[in-house]
Amino acid sequence: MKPCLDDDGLLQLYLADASEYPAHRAHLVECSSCAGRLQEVAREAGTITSALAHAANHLNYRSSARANVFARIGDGFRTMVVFSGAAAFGGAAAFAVILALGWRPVVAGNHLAQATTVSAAGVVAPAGGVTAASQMIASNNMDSADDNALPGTGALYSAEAVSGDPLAGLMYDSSTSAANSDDDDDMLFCVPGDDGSMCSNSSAGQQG
Amino acid sequence: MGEMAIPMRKPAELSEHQVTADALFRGHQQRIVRLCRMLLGNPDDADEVSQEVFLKMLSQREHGPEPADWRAWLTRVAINACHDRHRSGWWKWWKRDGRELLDTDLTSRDTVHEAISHEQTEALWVAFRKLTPRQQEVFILRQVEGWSTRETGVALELSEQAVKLQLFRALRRLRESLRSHQ
Repeated sequence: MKPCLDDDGLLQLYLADASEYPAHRAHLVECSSCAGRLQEVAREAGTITSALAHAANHLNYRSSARANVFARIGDGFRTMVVFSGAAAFGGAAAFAVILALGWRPVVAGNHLAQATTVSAAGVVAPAGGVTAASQMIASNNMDSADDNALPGTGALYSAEAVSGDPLAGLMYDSSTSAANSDDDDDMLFCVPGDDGSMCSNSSAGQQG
Repeated sequence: MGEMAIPMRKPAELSEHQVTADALFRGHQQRIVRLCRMLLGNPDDADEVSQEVFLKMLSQREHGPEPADWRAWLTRVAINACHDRHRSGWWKWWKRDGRELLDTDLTSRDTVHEAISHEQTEALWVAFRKLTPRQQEVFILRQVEGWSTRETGVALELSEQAVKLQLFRALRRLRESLRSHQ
């Protein structure tokens, strides 16, 4: 007599055709325990099938979504992670492409170098101790030079814009900085060719 | 001013063609929707796919040769449509996979559920969703639809041995799930 069948053997027997596994079937005739377990397998299979079919007929995504808040939160978190990762990856890729194309980040040193380059064409930003005011002056002069016109009334402009000497700004740069250090001074006019005493603040000039 | 009378065809005037299409729809609609729900795990997707299936049925009746067995034809079309839905809606599928939940109606007691608790049914559903697509298809056709091993093999283009093996693996996992929640 064959030994009793294990669970997998019984399941195989349950799924097999009637002509398969004759030895196992002969054992079932003699062993009531195995026969009973085979009936249990068949009953379980029927229960599983009925339960799944019933569940499919009553499946409702929306109403149950409310019931399982944690699952929805998990979904949201996964969505956020995926989109954040995709955005970060896309940004990094775009940055890499831009760098590969030759772009470099613009910093203060670059501004100065750019302004110095432009100064060769008659416009220069004051070197050393670059301040916001001096950058405005350079910028204003660049516009004026482009337009091939004198700076407008009331505009800030540097000494070289008046003189046409690109080195004038450098010559008077130290005195310019010193004059601008006074909080009461708002503007400075320096005329190249004059001595250092002429390079004074606007209020002093007006007074003189 | 009287209402304009809309000419209506009496049922007797319906063509044999139309009656058969209606009968096909009524006879198979519930089965196809259930199949799609089991394969897709989402009722909204299942409804859409089942509508596509019946549109294809109408188109087949209009233009193509009439299949010998509409039941098998509809089942095959539904399975293929579910495959297509898996592929096209991968994001939605991934997002929802494993998250399908059961309606509260499931707790209603009936002859099936006197022997099985709501938790067990839910565990069974989760275990079923974790089966491979092939195992799910074989289980549905053999167990739920009651097809023979040979019919299932022909429909899924599998050998009979492969059908038995897939069903064996599926049932073993489902039984384990059922027993672990007893």
